[in-house]
Amino acid sequence: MPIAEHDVTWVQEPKLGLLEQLYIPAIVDGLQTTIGHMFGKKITEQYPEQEPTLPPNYRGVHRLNRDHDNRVKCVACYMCATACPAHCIDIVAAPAPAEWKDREKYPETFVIDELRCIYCGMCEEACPVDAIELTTLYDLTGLSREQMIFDKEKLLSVFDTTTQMGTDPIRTQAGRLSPASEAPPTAGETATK
Amino acid sequence: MPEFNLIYTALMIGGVIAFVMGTVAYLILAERKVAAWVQDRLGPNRVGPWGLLQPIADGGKMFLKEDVIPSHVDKVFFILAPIVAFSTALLSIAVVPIGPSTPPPAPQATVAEYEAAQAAYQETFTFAIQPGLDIGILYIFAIGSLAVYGVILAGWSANNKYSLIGSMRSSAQIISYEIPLGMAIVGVLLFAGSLNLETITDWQSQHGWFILFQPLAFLLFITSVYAETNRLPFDLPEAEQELVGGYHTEYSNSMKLGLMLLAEYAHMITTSFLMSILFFGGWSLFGLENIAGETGIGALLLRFGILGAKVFGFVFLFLLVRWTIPRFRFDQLIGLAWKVMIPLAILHLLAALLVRHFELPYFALTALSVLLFFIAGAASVRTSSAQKTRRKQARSATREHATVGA
Repeated sequence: MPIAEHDVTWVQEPKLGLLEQLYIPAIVDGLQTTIGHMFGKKITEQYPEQEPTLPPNYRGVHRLNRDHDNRVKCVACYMCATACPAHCIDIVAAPAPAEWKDREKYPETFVIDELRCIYCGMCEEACPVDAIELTTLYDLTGLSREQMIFDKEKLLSVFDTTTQMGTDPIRTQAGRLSPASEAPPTAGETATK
Repeated sequence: MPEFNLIYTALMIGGVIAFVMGTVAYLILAERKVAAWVQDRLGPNRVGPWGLLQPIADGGKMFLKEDVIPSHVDKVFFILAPIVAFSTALLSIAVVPIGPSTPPPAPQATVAEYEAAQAAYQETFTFAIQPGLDIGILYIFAIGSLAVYGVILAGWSANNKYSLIGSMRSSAQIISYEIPLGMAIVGVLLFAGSLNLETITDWQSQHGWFILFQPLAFLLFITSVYAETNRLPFDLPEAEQELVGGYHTEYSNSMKLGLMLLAEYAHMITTSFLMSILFFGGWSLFGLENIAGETGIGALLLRFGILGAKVFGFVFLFLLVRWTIPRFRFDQLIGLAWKVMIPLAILHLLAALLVRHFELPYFALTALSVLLFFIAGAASVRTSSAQKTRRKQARSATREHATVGA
């Protein structure tokens, strides 16, 4: 579609007067701004000495939460692994020990490749029992790729450190586990419902 | 020209070079610090307290880095260019009095008087590598023009389009701005009656600073100096957004690049000295320089301090202006030199000649100077509005044409 005449706005440049054409007042004005900033407040964060204050919903290293009995909260439902867009979570489920009355399965291994992870927080949202959470630990480093693959023990230790530090309190109340922990309904039950 | 003492001169050369090199090293730190402060940052502060050891670390790095010479360069000129740039930058400070100075004797009526004056002059000491050189400022300009060879050789030998464009721009820029640079100080030379910088300082300590009588000349001079030293707003030869690194693109970050940068900063120091001496009275400060007596160690230190403060002020202004005024476009740069500064410099020279010839009071020149400046401003208001009307007419013409076409 061609541009119609009435759609066009001709912008008139502001006319420069004598004072503006002399340029000196404008340069002095600019220098004032520059000097003002020189003595203004600095915004530099002196990183290693001065830690940043992160928002509570910062998405850093993952942790696996523990419940009241210090057991891993995860029920190995694979929801996080399914939701993960980067496919960085690898879970091997196993039947829960007999004395764990509230769930059917638990993760025998739970491995997150922290290098593949894109820290989107989808696993956290998908988890029905609030077992996986992203913490405000931001300075994740390692000397090799192998070191950056976190297994269950490592992820649980992240829980221990972050809750001890007090930066990442347990965000959800550890109550009864959700229906995801329970045994799938039998075929007959589904039919009656 | 007086005889010179070899030992004094050698000491002076060593002292001045050490002073310039030290200042240059810390100038690079100062540049980074000021840049940071202006941008609300802190700047280098990790090496030593407040980053004061940063220049030493930088220097060490430059010496230790591998010296890469690309295979496509013209080796001879590639190596020669930093040497030329650096040595010309150091040479030009030779006649600049860096401290208290005594003017060489003026011509006398009889030989006996002249001999006596010369003998008296030999008793005094001037803090310059080559005191009493009669061509003084002319020598600085001559060496300053040679400095462009460093840039051109670097750009040409690098066999790189960016380098070449950078050095082409530089040559056009420096040749254009030499003219107003030279013209601006002719007024000063007319009144001081000498090219010698010590004599010019002496004249100002007796009659008052030249900035008071020739503010326009100072304005032209400082603008040209910014162009000559390739500082913003005239840093087109090394406009990093367009030209990677400009003429020093192909120099890896070794001592060759270091020499190029040192040369640039040395130019800044020399020109700051020149501005202080030519227009701000060198070591004089309206008689205040004599508070600690005419001679003696107190007066010596005070005069050093006054001149040093002025030079520091100008260097600081260099750093601040860099973050205040954006870069010119190339046509604007050349237009400014040829259409504005050279005519203004000629008119100012004419005004100075009139004042000198009819022996009017010096402040008449101040008035003329300011008047010329305002006339130039008014003229540019007129031309810009005339251009605007022309553009408007052209625009409405195309609009009519488009309507007819539709």
